[in-house]
Amino acid sequence: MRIQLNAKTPEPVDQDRALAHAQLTVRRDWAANIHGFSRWHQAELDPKPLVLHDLNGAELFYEFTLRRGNDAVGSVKASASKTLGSPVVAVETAPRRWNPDEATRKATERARKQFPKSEISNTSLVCYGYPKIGVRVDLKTGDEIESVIYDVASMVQITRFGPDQREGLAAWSFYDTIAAPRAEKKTRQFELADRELDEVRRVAQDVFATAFTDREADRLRESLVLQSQLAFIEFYSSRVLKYGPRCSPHDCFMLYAQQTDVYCAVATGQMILDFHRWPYTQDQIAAAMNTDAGGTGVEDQATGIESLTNNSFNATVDYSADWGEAKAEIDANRPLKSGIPGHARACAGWKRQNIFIIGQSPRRWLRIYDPWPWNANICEGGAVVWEDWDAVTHTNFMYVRHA
Amino acid sequence: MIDADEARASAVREVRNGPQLDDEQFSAWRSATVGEPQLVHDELGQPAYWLVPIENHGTTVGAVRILGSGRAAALIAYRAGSNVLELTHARVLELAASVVTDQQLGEVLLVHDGPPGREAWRVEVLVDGKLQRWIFVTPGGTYQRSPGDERLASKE
Repeated sequence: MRIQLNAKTPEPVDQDRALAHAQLTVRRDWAANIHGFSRWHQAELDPKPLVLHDLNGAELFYEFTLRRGNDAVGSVKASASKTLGSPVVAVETAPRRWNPDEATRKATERARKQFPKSEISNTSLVCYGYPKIGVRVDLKTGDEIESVIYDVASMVQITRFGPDQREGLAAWSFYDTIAAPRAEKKTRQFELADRELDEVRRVAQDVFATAFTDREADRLRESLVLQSQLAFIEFYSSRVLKYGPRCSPHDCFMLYAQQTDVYCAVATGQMILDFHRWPYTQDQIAAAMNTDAGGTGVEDQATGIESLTNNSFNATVDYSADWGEAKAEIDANRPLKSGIPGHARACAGWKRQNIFIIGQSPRRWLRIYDPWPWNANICEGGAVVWEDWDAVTHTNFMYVRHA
Repeated sequence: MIDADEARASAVREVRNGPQLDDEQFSAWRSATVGEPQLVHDELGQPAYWLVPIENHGTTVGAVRILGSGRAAALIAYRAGSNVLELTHARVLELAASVVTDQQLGEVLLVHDGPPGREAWRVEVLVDGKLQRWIFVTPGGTYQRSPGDERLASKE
């Protein structure tokens, strides 16, 4: 396989900068009590990283080893290019399971046996199909330079190339496939993270100091929590559905349980229809939604809602559900249907953190009216749930709006 | 997968700082305590996540769903007929037995039937020692299904 070996790293990040980003990530994960990071305030990053290259030869990641004493306890993959968007791509909370020197030696031996007439001109570690790592061995035969890649764990030679190959031992370029298509946007994103890093350096230099005792760590944890300079900023923003916009509107949404084990979409439709003052029984809604023993199709739900409202409402299915869209719908005082794989619920509120650990995304929730558990009595069963948006797989939304 | 103690600790943190604090639907959570985590399994019987009960004066008023990573995915306010955790093992078997005749009942497992959140107690129905179907027991009643007759992902 002939591949370009010497591509330049686009928008490169120097190793010191990458190390600082890695340190900040480790500290904030510890400060946020993330599982697996509880003792990481006592660990230090080795400033000399393992350099992982892209398939095209450009530097892709700096992998810093995290050590507690002499023991490696984890590693942090920092970006070598701003075009990757995020300064840190992955944090491993366990020691590396392969030895870079050993893998390089084995790969060299294998290549020498496999290509006895070629001269080995160079070796490097390559991320050949994220997150898989291999050893690339460059072979010189006359004036020709070609390369082979062996997986670091299995030493299997990688022979399939391209992101369209079936998953498995196929090689593809991270830059070409993931970074390049949105490089401009990702570079801007990286620069924002860079600015944030500078700000942390300004206000909390301790974050980048080495080795903390438990007592010092408590102070450090406090410094990692963003302190708002505006006292009136609330810890959360939120909104739930109200009865009308005037005077002193009260919360206005009612939970109904699904009357059978397959009536989740039906009960969700009932909650939304009742909100808009179109009262129907669940059996009536099931008939309109073409519900059968297996449940209700997503498009059938929309058709049913429209027919039951004499087409005075449009029901629109959105298969690219996004928290911001749910928020916009609630802000417009309209409930929506939230689909997760094989289940439908109604959504009647949102909440978002305003103050959060530096560098982490603010947590976002939806207030879900879940018709499960089912109950023949719709006023029993079901549950109101504050659901963490980023911890749940969403398949679709359905918006119900006046036509 | 975190263990029960870690799940409990995660639930405690979430209850202290979670989004439910000013929500009247969760008023029963004030001065509540965190109970014993229950492991919820997937359709293959593998551990999927923890359901940590929230208890107030001996009554389970809700639960926190804690993922295997320790992340709190959902805070759930129960009402009458919602609390799958109130069903004891003996009661689950009793309810399952009421819908079978001669068959033997096998393993009882707390599962999510469908996506996380659709919890039910799954009871094996055995014929000549072989699994014939499952009975799912919830606070609102029971339903049944044969293995391999899973709900279509395209239907809700």
